[in-house]
Amino acid sequence: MKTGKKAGICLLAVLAAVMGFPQTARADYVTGSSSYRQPVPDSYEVTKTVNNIGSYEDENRYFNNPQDLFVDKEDNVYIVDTGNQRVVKLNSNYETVAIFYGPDRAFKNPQGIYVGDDGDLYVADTDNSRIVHMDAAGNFVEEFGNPESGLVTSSTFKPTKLLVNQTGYLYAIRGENIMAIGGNGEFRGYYGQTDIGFDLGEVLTRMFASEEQQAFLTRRLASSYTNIAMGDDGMIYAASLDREEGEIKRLNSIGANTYRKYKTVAATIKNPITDFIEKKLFKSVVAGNSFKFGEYFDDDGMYMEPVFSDICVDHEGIVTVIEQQGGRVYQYDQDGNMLVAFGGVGESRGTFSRTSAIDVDSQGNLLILDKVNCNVQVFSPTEFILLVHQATAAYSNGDYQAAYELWKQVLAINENYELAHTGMARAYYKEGRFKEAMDESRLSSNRDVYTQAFDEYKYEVLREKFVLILFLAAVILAAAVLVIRVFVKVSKKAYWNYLERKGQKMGIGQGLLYCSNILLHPIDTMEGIRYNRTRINMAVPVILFLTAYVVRIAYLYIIHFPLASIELWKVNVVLELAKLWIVPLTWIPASFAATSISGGESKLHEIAFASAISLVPYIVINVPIMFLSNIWSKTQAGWFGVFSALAYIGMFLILFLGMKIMNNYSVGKTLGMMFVSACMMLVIWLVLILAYILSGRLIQFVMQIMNEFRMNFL
Amino acid sequence: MIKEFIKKRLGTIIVAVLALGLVAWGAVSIQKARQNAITFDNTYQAPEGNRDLGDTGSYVSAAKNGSLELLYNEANGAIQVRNLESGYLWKSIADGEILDMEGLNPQWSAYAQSPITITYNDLAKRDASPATRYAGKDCTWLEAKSLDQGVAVTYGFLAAGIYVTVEYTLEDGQLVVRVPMDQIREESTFALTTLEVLPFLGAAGNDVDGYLFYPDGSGAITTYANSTERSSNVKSASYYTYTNRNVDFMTLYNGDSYDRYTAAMPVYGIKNDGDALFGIVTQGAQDSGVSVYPSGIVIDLNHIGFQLYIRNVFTVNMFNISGDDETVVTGTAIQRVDRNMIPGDREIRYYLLTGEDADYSGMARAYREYLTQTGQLADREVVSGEMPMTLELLMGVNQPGILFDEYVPMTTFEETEEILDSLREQGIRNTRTLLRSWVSADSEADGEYWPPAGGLGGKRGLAGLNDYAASNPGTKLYLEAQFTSVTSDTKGISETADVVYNGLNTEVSAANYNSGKNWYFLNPGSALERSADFLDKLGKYPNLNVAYQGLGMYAIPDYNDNAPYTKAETVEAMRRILSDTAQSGRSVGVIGANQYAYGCSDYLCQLRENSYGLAITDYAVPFLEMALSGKVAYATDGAGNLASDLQEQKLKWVEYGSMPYFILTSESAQELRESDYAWLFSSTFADWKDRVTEVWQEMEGRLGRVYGQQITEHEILGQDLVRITYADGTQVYINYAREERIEQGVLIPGQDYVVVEGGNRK
Repeated sequence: MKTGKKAGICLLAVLAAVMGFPQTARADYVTGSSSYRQPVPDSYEVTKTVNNIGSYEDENRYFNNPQDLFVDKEDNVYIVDTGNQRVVKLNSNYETVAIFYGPDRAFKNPQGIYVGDDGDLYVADTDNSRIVHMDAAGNFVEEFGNPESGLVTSSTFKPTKLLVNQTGYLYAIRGENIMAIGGNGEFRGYYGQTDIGFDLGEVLTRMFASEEQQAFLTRRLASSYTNIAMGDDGMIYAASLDREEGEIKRLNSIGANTYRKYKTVAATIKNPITDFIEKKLFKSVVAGNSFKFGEYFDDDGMYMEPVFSDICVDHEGIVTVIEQQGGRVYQYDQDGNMLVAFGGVGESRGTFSRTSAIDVDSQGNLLILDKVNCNVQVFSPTEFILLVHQATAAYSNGDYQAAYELWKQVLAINENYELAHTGMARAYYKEGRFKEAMDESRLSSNRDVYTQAFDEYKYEVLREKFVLILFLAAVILAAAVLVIRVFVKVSKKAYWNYLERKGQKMGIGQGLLYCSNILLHPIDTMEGIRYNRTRINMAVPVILFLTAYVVRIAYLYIIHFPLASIELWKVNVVLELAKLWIVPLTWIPASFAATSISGGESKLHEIAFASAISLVPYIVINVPIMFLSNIWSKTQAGWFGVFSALAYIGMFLILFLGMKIMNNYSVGKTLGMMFVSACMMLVIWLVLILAYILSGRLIQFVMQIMNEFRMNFL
Repeated sequence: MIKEFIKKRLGTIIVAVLALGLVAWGAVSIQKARQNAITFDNTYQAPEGNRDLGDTGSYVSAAKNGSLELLYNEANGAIQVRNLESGYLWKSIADGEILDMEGLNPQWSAYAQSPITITYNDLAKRDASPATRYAGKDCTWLEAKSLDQGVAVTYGFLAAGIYVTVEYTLEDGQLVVRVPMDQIREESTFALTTLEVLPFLGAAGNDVDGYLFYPDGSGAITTYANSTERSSNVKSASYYTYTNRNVDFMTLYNGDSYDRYTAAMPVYGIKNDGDALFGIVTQGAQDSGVSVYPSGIVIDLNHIGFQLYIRNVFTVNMFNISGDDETVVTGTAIQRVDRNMIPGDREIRYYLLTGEDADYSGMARAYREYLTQTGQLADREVVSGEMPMTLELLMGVNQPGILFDEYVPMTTFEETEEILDSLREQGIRNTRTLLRSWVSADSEADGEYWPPAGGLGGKRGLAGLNDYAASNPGTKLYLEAQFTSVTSDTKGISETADVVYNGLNTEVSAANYNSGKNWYFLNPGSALERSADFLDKLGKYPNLNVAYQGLGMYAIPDYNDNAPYTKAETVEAMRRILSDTAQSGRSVGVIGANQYAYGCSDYLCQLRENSYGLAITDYAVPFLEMALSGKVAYATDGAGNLASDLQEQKLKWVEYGSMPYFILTSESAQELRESDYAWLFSSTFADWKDRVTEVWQEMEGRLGRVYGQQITEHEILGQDLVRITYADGTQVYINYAREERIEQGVLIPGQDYVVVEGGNRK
């Protein structure tokens, strides 16, 4: 919810920018690796709207709640006019040429259709519980009811969306499964079941629930499919509600998803160890894993989960889906990169009330059915999107040179089209022009291609200037060793100075150096504070807190592009501050509260001092890391994660030591008190959040009352 | 002792003072609200009527001149106008000939037989929903008075206690309809808000060969014959002249709702077979609107009419404390109505066109004629015989940073000169260049107008541009200025005194909107002050011109206590800003195309080149552009560098008589990706220079000769094929389709145009 709101603010800004001082109101866009909308030129324009059956003689001129649409190989269009219990066939000029009401008995609430290459029709005659097969003239051929098999649940058969593959198998959506039916109506198994996944919450609930409660728990189901389409490549393209793996799937003959997946999006080049670290420990460190199909935010920036009601795929393998709630159409290339989003809910041509089906004809026109407006709008591709299609096709066919030329043409129309920059980067990479590949991939925020190019570039530079680099490295190393040695010496001196000069208050510089001793002699340092607790200088923790924050901000600026977890311009200073300070700051009152009722000896300001020291490892580790990162790329992200982990482990250890030594606790007691403190921290956070929400409501209430007074009423 | 007491009870004292303050303030507010509230003694008793609703009566001649005859029906208060030249009879209400009334619901049957309708709210109620009454059944009192060349009819809606007098007179080829405000009588607590005048004038069924024309975008057409192509769910459309009637910040500011509801011109037209009718609101245009009802909305009749707004109406969202955090915390919406009527008589002129004039091109010619005669359109420095070019240069943007946003120059003053020089080398000498965002990154949003950004070259750089403009007379440089909206970031603005208030005594604003600022509309008084100051500051730069952002798009009434402005007064203030600018010897540019700006501007930019695209609209036509062509220089709103297909955009320019138009930057557009100008996805001059030159050279070569002439005729010859005709007879065929076409012996290649001059192709 919280992230939703933040992104919401970000999105609103984008929308306003599109409006500007009214610029074109409706604009097509793409979203990159995040929810940010980047405007693009018009991609499709409506060239025809089919509102009724034209001059064809029939009782009802208009459509009524039409649920499905299919375009066959000859570009004939079939509309399942559900409310009128009929199927309307249009020719490629969108003139009605036939209407089917059901071959042997009337259709009852038909919801889906598939037309074979031979012109035969398969209609999901939903409320008749059957799929009916007709020839091109509408004569009955056969029907499929609920196939008999032990695996098929006995619930009534309500087929909705279906398709038939080249071998004559019929696939129909059945909840979380796609059911395959053989040519003779026999059950051929379930296909493409989504992974149900593991849910700790559920396991716990089941563990502790009584038998009566267990009875009320519903079985968690895998996510449902919403629609399927047949690709020219023989794959089944499916839209689903699967939020884990990805809503859009390309299923091969054994039902495995071969399309872009959420889970492995960032994992194109990984070794198993880094992969494990990224996935389990530092998910957020590696950017680019926030990719989602569709958008998880509506036009006002509020969180929503997209529902893709239909999917179609053209002969190049370009996938287009319609999303119900926002009324948008999203298009993806063969690898799942978004090409464009357009449409939306509205009154003007090219927008919708509620879409129900989409298909693509042989010319690349998209036909989109609206079940509330009861019409079909035909969207023809513009020059721009045609070029994009050609470029992605060339690339996926391995013709990199052609792709390069085509992407160049795309960039001439839209300089900021990210995918084109990625395309150019890949082409440069293939040609061995690594520096250019790096620049281009930076423009498209593509960290994977950047990493590939950077690694190559690094070796290139290394090969060319090996001696020089070796020399420089030696110099830097020597300098570093020197600095460390001096530093160690000085801080040791500060340590002894502090301990020996009794009766003198800690100086600021002295205090800072003293604190850095924690890295080498943590126990001594803590004990030094414990036994000289009256002399500590509270300016030191303040400076430490500030320094850590400065380091964090500097880090965001200096960190190498492929390793940055967030785009610089999206950084929220306040949020960064909160993220960094929240643990050590709330630790102070929490552990004070916990220890003071449990024989603790430390006072509030002493705990503050100890908890500020816990930031020292963070500072000391991150300063060299951020500079070093500039010769690292995503390949080394694992090491990077290890260092970040060290900073946090250090923080934890120091807090532990602080608590143990300052209060003179045993190890067991310290651990227990740490647990209590952690709980206290949670309580503090909850109280803060509650106060925030309540005061917000109060302010809002008072403002409204004031407003109503100001208005002239009585 | 007192000291001690204060010390002890400080908290209590503070709370008490705060509470007292709140109570006092509440009391003052209530007092103020009481003063503004309306009190009545509601003792109204409806008198006896004088009209027999069953009597259909007959029409008698009320006036006649050389070309028209006005007929009046005493029984139902309706009129008819006969065009004596063609013999065509324009009926003001539907009768059995036009519409089969059998079985029609009584409401609609009454509506179809109403020369006027009224909408009113009950002032005595706190939450009164609007009610509409139809002359066809609710006007039970009628009184007619003969006028010179016409008749004055008083319609009495006795149940509501509202009387409206409408004067119908003939003048040359026009029917003039006037509504004198002093003759509107309200005898009960009902307050008239909207008057619909002659909603069924010229209503026609689908068997008639004709169409409705209405001011959607540049002008839009709904053809009767196309009714068979529409869906079962046909919706009417309403347009508000100049600015949406609903004065709410987001409604006004949102581009989509702006395009959907705003009409730049107070006009509409009807074509029925060989005759046409074209209506203009000639007095009180700013308080009017147009409603379009194509056949299929309850009845199979196409009709269209003006709405005159007599009072402003405001919607209040009542606070609802019980709403949860995630939903918008609003309760019911209630309507509040102004106490006073909007002053000023209203007048509508209907031009009755026939023969060659009976189409939308004829309407455009009539409109142009009307504007010219009334001084609302004058000949302003359109250089003819050479194709000019419009450039918008984005000067600088905000680059969001972690701590501070950074102003990044995109095109400095010096680079502006370089760009213009390099275009001049290519022969493009006649340019109009709009400099955007030249004060600060947010100056477009904040309405900042001075000083020029240091990063661009500062005042010295601006002086350089001034010299540049002086030495290159064909180059016209326009500094963008925005005196329409402000934000909480705007310097020197009071968020209470300088902003527009609505009739509910609250600011028209969006709080905490984009970039976390509060957004307001600047009130006309402050706009005048700021623009005067701006012109003063520009005194040292006499060769630089000004283009006003927003001024041609919004005219909003202001209820600010100190200096209230009616919408008409706001329009006057806008015109004054424009004429003051012209008086300082500068060329005046206006962005947006509201009618009040035409006569005071030398240059109009971002004119719409399309309609909103409603399902009822069959096509958009360049009505506005035909009226303006050759009088004022203009550019339409499709920028070449943002088009998905430049060739297609070029054809649009040709069809709409626009000069080519590009939005460019000297720096790479990649710098814009993360700024508020992310919509400018392609603008780098170095990349665009060749294409800009090429397009211009081609258009100059083929159309330069006719540029600056009036476009007299626009015809749709088929799908994707149009023809325009210039005043000297030159015709341009434009083919949007990818396939070539042959029309009247002229071969037009796919996605191209052909210029035919006296039978010769060029």
